[in-house]
Amino acid sequence: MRSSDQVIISRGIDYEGQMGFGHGTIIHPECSIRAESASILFGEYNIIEEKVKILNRKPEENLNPAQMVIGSYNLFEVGCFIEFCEIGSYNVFEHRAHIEPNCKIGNGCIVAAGVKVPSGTIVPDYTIVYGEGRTMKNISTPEEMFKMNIKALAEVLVKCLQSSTMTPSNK
Amino acid sequence: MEPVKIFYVKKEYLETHTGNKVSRKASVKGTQNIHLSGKCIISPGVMIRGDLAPVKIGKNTIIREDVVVRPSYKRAKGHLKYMTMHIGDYVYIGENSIICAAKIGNNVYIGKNCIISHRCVLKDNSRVEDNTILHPDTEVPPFTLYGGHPGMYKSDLPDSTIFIHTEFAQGFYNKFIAS
Repeated sequence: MRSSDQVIISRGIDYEGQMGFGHGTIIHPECSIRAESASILFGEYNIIEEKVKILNRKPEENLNPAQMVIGSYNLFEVGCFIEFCEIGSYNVFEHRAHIEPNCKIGNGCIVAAGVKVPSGTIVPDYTIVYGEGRTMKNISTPEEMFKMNIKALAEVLVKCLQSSTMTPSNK
Repeated sequence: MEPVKIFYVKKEYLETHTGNKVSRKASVKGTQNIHLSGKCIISPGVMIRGDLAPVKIGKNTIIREDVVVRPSYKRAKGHLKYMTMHIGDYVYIGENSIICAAKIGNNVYIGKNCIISHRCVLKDNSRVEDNTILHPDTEVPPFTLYGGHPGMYKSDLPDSTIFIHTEFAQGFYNKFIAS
């Protein structure tokens, strides 16, 4: 596991394989991040909440494993399930969102709670996915504002977690 | 909705003198911030995040397996703040639910596989069906039934709900017996 300065990783998460984390990443307990075929790279300020599963598991028929790259300023809420896909920046995956393999998710997207995105879907920039396959233009939060929000959330979390069971790692 | 007898292994639960039964397999973080009023049941696999903000749970509240209880945040005077989470008396929370509500009143029944998103408010004597997804900032009024995806008003509940939900929670506690 490779990480730059100030990354908070909870004790006892389930991980396997090679992965890299950018500055300000926070990983909550009971997550599982498994890079089984190739490595997973995270950008800056990703917040990964409880019971999130991020897998880089290629299906058997596709034999060329590729690196999975996740952009910066993403928020993965409780119970998300994400398989191999391309993810941009400034996205929100709400509670129990399910992204199937080989999807492509742009920038500034919101996947609403409990929504399943079928495999091979391309979600263009600034869209909200809700219901079963319905989409809407995301005009609510400009990028700069969103960046500020995530940074503020990360700051608050760092303060809360520093006194408790979590340990900041400086590797 | 008559509760059935559930037997548990005594070694796997911690019992306090006020009658709280907390599973040793539950991952409860920030224990100094979690306040249980008595006769609560916390099942295995439950995650309560007391390290983010205080969680206050009333008496005779039952939290079933694999529930995540996580305080939510709000913006106050330009900066983010995690809010204290209040859960009332005689509340039942079903399996696999995710609770990020701001406040849950007394005599509330929440089914299984529910998602109660950020800053939702569930008033007294309300009921949420199984597999419901309540979107952020939803308010469930007293004596109403919410259900579906997204969570919507379904019907009114009778005045006797208060007794039905109270008796269900009490019955569940009384039939949760050490084998």
